[in-house]
Amino acid sequence: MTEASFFEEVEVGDELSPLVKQPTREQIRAYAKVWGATGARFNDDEAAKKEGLPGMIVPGNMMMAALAQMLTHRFSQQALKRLEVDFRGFMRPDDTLTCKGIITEKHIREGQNYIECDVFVENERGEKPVVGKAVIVIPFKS
Amino acid sequence: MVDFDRSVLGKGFSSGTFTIEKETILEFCRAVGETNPLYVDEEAAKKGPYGGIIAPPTFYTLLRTYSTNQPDLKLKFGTAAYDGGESGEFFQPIRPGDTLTATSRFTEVYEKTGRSGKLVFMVRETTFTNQKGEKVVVSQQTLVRR
Amino acid sequence: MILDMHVHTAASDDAAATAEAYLRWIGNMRKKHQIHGMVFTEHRSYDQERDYSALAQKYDVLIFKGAEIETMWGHFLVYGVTDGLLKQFDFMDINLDAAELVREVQAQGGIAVPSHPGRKFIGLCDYINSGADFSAIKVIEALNGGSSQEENRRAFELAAQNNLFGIGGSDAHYVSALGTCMTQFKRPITCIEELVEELYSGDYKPIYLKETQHGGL
Repeated sequence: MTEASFFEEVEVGDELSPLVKQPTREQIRAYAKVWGATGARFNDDEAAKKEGLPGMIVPGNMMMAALAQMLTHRFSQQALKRLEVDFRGFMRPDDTLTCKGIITEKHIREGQNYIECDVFVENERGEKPVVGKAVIVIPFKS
Repeated sequence: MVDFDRSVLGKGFSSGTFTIEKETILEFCRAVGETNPLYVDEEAAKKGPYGGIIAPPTFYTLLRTYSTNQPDLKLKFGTAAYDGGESGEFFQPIRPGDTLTATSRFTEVYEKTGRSGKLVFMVRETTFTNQKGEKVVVSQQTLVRR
Repeated sequence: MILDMHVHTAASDDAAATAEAYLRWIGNMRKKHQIHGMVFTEHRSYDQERDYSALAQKYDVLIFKGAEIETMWGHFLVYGVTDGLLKQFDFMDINLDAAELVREVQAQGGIAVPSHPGRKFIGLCDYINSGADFSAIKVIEALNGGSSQEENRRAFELAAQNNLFGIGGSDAHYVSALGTCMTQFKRPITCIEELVEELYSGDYKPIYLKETQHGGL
């Protein structure tokens, strides 16, 4: 399931295979249920509007999970050391949300092979409602 | 300047104990469309690097670390709260059957202006430790009030 | 000479990139694009002690320091921060008097430039008809990498209607956003004083990254 990725094979400027998500209202409610989030904003369009929102929104952490999915698919769970994201804009049900990543750094520190990767979620209007960064440690091939 | 009780900053408080169930991990995976056998297929996961199912990295964000122990920042600003950001540093995997203990503290409160007006940001750091005493995740959550 | 006039490092509350990460990324960018340097404009702060000269030399990149501060007329980029300004204004205050700021910065040899003027609430466009005195403003950030096309269009319109010069900056908070918008200066710049002088001269234009491809200028 995981593409083999070794330190020698990764170059600064490389882009990760994008992961496209289109969270439906059902999926958002399912996520909110596991989370125990009963508030209007993740469950009910009309009630969310009364809170001043455009309607139901996608939980930021749900897309953080999607970014982690993209990263672990490429580098494995063991490789992912840190993931930080900023939530900058609302994401709506049925938005086409594309998770993307680009390698920005590659260096060896204290005997560990570090990769740093900018990650973001882009919607169909070219906006980036989630931006962030991941730190990854991967082995040499040989 | 934003008005709040500065003595709360840096003060640690226990923010919950969580027993991790396999079914919750599976529900989380279904909701986010995660299909990696490492998280959803017991048989395949047994042969993998962890010898069994583990939780995906951001599973910890589901753990609701809001206890009655949380000190009151006495922040007199805003009527709505949003998630402004989240970071996780991963040390050990979370496994079904784990009991995680969380300790939190507020590290920062500051104000700024954004497209929607004046905002106050609160940063809250949480350390999750498992039943073996191992550090599992350290998270920083940014809460925004407006 | 091409400079990114608006860059945040991890010293800003909402940015994750270190100065050195930007510098290494410039090495990667220069394979395709021209970029000579950048200005670190941290949110609501200016660190007098921080010295980037060794890093600048190591990576052959010009680094200047500025700040992005918040006023009741929106956010302003300040180039040429002095001790006097830091004493006079609390950079953490998000309700600074913009008119006073622009005048004082100019009096002390710097320049204050409204950032992302097309954005709601934090951009100058929302306040231009408020009756306040904006005559001291000479330059705006006409191209901002973090603004939408519509927000940048409003900024260009503001510049055209008020005879203001326009700069470009990426507003990068992460490494890969560096240089998405920049400023192309006619003359070389070596220090912050020269940068301020050039900003008042108007001999520059805001550009997108794609305009800086080798052989394209």
